[in-house]
Amino acid sequence: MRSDSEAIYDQMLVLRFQRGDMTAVEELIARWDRRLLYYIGNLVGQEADALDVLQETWIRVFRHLRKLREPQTLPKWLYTVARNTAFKYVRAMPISPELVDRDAPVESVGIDRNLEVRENAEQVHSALGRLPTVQRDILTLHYLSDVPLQDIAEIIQIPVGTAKSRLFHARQALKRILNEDYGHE
Amino acid sequence: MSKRPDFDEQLIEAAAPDKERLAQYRRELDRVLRHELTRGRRWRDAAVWLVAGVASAWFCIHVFVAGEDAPWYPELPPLVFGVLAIFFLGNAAIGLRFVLVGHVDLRRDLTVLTTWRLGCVALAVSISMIWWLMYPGIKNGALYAVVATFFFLVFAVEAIFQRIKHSELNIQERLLRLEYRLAQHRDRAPTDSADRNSG
Repeated sequence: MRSDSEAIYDQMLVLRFQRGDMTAVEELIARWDRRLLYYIGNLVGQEADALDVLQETWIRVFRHLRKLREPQTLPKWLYTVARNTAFKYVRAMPISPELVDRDAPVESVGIDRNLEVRENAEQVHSALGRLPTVQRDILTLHYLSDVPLQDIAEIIQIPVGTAKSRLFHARQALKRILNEDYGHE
Repeated sequence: MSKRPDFDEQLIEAAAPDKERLAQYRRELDRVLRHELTRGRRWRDAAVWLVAGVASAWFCIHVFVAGEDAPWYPELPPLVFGVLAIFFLGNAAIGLRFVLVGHVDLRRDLTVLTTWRLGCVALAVSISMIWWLMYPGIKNGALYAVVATFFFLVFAVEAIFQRIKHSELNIQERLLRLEYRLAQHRDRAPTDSADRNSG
């Protein structure tokens, strides 16, 4: 989880870039590359595709970063750019069956609020890969912890209530997969 | 909803790509970004410097070679034109070098330096052009003088606005730097107290 000082440092990097300091480019990439790659990877699937999308994302980011008026919104803005770039890439592919899976029914099971505390990251990552894109999208943002639910809703462009409900169902689906694969109660 | 503080890092690590593939991507990204970040400005800056250079060369050749035979010869000391010529040609040379070798660091340095240099050149040229316009009997150069004056005034205003914007960003950054130090203390505080308790 990113601390307050890290968030402020990100804002400083935005200002440095806006006044022409190009060393901020390298620092921003170093700080955000892995997170964005993880998020994009969960949206587009293949590693090679994810790296292509990430490169395109950075180009878009630095093309428009000068116009970002509120540096404190950087995480939300970065994820929005990454998401839009990834979906544009997926739409351009011949078949994108997972995006059609938007309203797939989810088996109802009781929610475990401390689920992620008990599971190890590799299992969760593997289980995430088996969820429909729409659920993977919101859960990945939730796990990356940079943005509150309000911002997640804005990134995905849905109302906060819908985001809450979608997150709830996504976590239920994740728990079901973990139970099936790893026998967690 | 509680999460382990480092869970996001573990999750990212679980999906970390092959190191060689990642290094290849970083090299490619570096190359693409260098090109992307310098592209628009590079050509615009170079065009400005080249236009300024050609205009000043033409101006100086007429003043120094044609001398008083030039139809629009102004009664300004040659020293003024010499200084202007050095300014203009120097900038044109930098512009040319920029086109040939331009990369991110050079562009950054130029952005900072040229803001004020442009302002000074604009001011000097504007004053000399106005003087030139007011000089009676000179008609051939009048249109050129108006256009050139306007051109350089626009640059002067742009340069001033850019400078103001940079000052604002500097102030914001200084405030954030203070906030950052405070936040660092806050972040460290729980760890320190935990260390004290455990010690």
